Amino acid sequence: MAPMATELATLRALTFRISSTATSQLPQHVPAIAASLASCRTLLSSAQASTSKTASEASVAVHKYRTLLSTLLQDRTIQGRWAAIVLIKSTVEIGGWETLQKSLPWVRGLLGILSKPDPYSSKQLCIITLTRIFFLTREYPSLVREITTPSLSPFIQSTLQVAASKGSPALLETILESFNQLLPRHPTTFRTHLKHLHQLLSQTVAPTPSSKLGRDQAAGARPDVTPAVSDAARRLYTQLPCSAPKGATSDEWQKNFKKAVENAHSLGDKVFRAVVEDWKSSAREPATVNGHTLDDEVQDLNADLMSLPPWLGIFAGGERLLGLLNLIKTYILCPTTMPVNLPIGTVVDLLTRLLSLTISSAKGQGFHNAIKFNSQVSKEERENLWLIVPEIHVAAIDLLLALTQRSDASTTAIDAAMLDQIVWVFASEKDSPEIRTACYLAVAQLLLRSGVALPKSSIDPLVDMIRQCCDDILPLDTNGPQLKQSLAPKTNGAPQATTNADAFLKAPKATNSSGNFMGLQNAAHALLPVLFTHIRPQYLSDSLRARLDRTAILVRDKDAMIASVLNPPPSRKFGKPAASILPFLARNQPGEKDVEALLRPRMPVIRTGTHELEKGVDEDEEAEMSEEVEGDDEFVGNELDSLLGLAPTADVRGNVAMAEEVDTPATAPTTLMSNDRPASTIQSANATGKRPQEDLASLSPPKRVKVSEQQEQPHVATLPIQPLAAVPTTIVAQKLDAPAVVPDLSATSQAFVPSTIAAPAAPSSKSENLVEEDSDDDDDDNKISLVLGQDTDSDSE
Amino acid sequence: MLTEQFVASISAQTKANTGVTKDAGIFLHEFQPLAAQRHVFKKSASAQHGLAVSSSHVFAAQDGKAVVHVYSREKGNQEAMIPFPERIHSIALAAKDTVLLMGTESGRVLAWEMCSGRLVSTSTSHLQPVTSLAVDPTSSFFLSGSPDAMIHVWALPAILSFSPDTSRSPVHTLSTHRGPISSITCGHSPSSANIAISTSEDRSAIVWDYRNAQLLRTYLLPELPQALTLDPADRAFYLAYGDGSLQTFDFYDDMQKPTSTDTLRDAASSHRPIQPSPQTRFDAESQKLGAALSLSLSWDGQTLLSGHASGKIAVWDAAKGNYVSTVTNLPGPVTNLEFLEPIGFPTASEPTLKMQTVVKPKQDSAVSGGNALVPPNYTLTMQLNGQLRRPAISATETVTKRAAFEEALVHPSFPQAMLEASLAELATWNAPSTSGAGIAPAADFLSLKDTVGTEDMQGVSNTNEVQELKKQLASQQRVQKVTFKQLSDLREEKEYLLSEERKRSQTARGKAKAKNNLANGSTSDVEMSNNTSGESESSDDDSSSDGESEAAPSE
Repeated sequence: MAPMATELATLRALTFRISSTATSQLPQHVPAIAASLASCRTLLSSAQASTSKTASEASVAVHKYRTLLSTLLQDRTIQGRWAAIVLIKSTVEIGGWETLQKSLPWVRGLLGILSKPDPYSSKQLCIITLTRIFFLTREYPSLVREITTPSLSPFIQSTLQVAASKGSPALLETILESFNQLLPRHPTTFRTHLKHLHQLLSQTVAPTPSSKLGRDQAAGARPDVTPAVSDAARRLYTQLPCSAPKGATSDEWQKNFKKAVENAHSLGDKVFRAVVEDWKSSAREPATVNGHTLDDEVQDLNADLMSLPPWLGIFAGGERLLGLLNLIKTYILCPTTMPVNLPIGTVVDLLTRLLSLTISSAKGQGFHNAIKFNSQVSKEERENLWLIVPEIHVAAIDLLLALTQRSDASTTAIDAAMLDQIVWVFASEKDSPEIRTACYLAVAQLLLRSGVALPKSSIDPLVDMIRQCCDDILPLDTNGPQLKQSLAPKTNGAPQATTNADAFLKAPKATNSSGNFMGLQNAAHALLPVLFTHIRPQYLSDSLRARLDRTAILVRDKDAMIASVLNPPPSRKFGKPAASILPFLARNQPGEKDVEALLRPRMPVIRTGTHELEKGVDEDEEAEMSEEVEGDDEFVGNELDSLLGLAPTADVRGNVAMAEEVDTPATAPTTLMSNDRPASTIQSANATGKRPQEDLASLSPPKRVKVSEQQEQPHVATLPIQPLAAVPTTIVAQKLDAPAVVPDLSATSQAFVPSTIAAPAAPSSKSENLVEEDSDDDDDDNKISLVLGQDTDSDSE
Repeated sequence: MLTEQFVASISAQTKANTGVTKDAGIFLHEFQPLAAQRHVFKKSASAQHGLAVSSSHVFAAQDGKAVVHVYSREKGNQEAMIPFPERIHSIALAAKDTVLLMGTESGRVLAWEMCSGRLVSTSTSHLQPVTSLAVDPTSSFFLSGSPDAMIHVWALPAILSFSPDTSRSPVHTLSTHRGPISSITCGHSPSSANIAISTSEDRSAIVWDYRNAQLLRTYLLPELPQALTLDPADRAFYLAYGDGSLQTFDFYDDMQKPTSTDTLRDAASSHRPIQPSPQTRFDAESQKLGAALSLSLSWDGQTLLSGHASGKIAVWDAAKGNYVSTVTNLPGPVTNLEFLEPIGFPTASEPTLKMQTVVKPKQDSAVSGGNALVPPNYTLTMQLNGQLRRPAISATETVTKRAAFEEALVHPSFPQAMLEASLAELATWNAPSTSGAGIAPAADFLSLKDTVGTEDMQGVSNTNEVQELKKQLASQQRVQKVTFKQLSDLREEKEYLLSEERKRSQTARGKAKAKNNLANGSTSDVEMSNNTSGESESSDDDSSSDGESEAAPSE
């Protein structure tokens, strides 16, 4: 029990340290104490049976420690209580059942702290600790009965009180998050508090800080609602149906979901009143906005379907709409305890509505179906609407992404249609970086799901976006100065300042202009490899493909480069065959594992190692087996079979000749490699000499450094191995190269490779000696005739 | 610890079986760690290619009937029996087990979205029943084979699309086979380099690049192929024959190597059929297995399982090509055999949705939904599983971290940042308290309590003192009152005694006994002195002084 003794000593020392330190100084010590507490895990979590002397000592020490924490929890100073909270959390984490079982006094003490005027952060820690204790007791029904169930209701009450007093946003967030954790597990306990929860949530779910309502009109508007708070509130809101009476949970969920969608629609009717929408709903009756006299300002002074507080002004309306879209998104992202009906149809309907109202259609830039304005609404409001539309679109795309993430592969049916919508939005609002980010993310997601099956007609509209994506990753050099000059008059008010001296100096580096948009950069970088892998290379024009390759190479994006190499452009019938960017990849990322796997694949064949032991036996058996097979298989014909029996052995040599025959015409268009190819297939010692040479040539810098074209030549040359094929060629070419080396080596050094590659090679030479040398050619001839025979055979069937 | 299971189905009961498994048709069998039967599903008879297993359900197309049985794996019972307008000859799962594809008698393929109940059909492109189906790993394409010797490649999203103008005809048609297609399997790569293999009763197996409709390799077979399975790394495929033997087709074996190195995509050899060496064929004559009908490869690719007409399921070593054992003996011809993904990975990722019950198919009436992209009543019935994280889209931020709360919740203590922030607040929390009453009411209360704590202490002691003093005062006033009373008593006594003395002296002058009276007067003087000393002591003890003072006049 040596480790136990050390733990005992540690615990005693810790207890002493806690008790000997003045409580005002204690918080500084606590992190260190909590850290070293981790080493007392066994002691604190083991059951104390006081049989032996050490065990009783241990139980005394543990008891002392626990009582110390309990008294510290009742300490008069906030520092002491703070220390107690942190130490209890640390103890509970490592203490296991033994500690949890005795944690009831602590829970009471912690509940007491909530009602005391402690600092916000202590309360925050206290709530986290309590949540953790409730969380940990879940696995033990007896502890749930003893500890969680009696304390949960007071906990909810006091936290709700804390939340009601407008304190710090972080504290409010913690409370909501805590409820998020607890509510799904203890729905019945929360049921009695639902009314208060609703009150709290209606203020936080979709806040409208821009509302122009006065304080008195907007009862319950809270200034302390940060995005994180409302996010937590939304998640809690979506969990509320868990507390519905038994059996009604999924109905409640569906009802709430429908309500949220419906609310978003009616909000859309209000916020979008400045324009006449093209969209015709499939499920809703169109709102008759034009029939009524309109308020002079967009507003909703009555509580709506979800009894959210009233708002006034278009910006507040926009904020509410965003909040609702986020709420619908949260519904989709949060788990449910029961199966529910997720109404894809209505969500897509809402998305279509939101995404079909675009700015450019309103401005009428070259679209004949320019959107109609509602003449009753002032121009200012319309312009304000254009200001919030991109935000709404971003939220809508976010919702779409959530939907695709949740429904996984089961909603691929909507992909093509949504892709069109996104392209439409992108075309009109690509000036906004937020819109660009959202569109890149969405297109990447949709392509990943069903990109390879999309027809060319769906891919063509993406061209504009693909170019923009390349621009975002790597701005064109020409854009830099132009951008600067066009921007300069706008930013600087004074005209004399526009012709700044800097403009005459060398062009500024173009890359720093978008450096601050990290989210945009990440989204564009994420899209780039997907464009290679999930769009059929045939659908992209040569110039676009070149643009993509160029971007990938210049920014040294490994993923994109590998994706490009794995999905080479289709080989063309005329002119120079399409080039692979493999050399660039090899230069840029020589040490990466995936590049290595691409350049020098090592794929073990199935029987690696298994035949090694039986090599000696095999040689004997092979002869026997071939005889057996001859005997058994009557259907092909004995003569052919006897030859077949020899085929694998004879083939090893025989195919060399054949390979030359067949390969040479096939690789005829190849200029450089046509000599090299058959040589590589010759399984002899001199091939091993030649092959590494070629490898060297492709890798050795001094020869190939000059022009990229030259650099690529070895690989370009290997491409037309399949001149007829419209298949990914480079991967083939590369695969061809490296494994060719492997068998060559194996042939020369048989001891080195234990696999069957080597094994049959040995008998082959023996059996060949037995068979006449001439039979090699005969064998090949027979093989071909066999093919014909087989064909006629199947014809006759 | 991992558990590997396989599912086998039989076409019909041939043996008179005893007891429990009387009408069992589908068998869930554990393969590792302990080979034993785990569960049976009853009343099913499925032909080849008539079984599909998802993580939640088992689907079995009934042999010779237009019915698909759906079994719930969780509950272990039959969940539904779903009739279709025509006979189902083959089934396969697609789109992460949410879509069931069914090859029908008339030569079309039905796609049933099991979450929504939507049922869509392809065009009737096959001339004969669709007997085999294979779905590619991305679920973007699937292949269908039929006795009309054709293989069609379809794009699944196009088939499932809502828009009425998408074509529901095949993307490609592979028509090289000369005999009925017996089985198709698809490679494991999600990339464009994926392959598919088909076997036909013209005694050939063809390796396809199905996305480009290209023939890569032809193998000539010694016999009619019965079942087909592909190596997990696409290195080889295995065939089972009617005589119960199996054969390995190694794409990288020594025979093909000199010509094509390691790849299938050598155009030169794609036109040249390959007759595999008979040595790659193996069987177990002595076991009397009967015709092999189904074949499956274990997760690690090392073990082959073959189902036979005799009902036996044989285990083979894939690498050595020899018979290992017979794992079980089912009461009918084993038509389908499927290894399941091992369960028990410690960090298994959860699916985002759970399909607890299938939604029975209803004919796709929603196409008439008009201008809407998606019919408004299109709903998915499923359980949303697990919290998904999707940070809000932002062009400037790149936040992907976990929520602070959840991080804190599972942290061994509290995250460093949180502790530091809290300590900082703790330090500043005290500051306003010393400056006295002030800004934040909540803060004040505490600070007051703290400082006033010490003031309180003084206050408490002061009041205590006052109370004590008042007490003393009261008691002394009482003493004073008593003393005054005693004084007045003594005065009365003295006057009385003096008057007595006067009377006595007046009477004694005349008599001779005057001496005795004088002695009496001296004793009363002593008594007086006693009384006064008692009063001075009795400042604390009122009752005793009272008693004495009362005693004095009673005398």
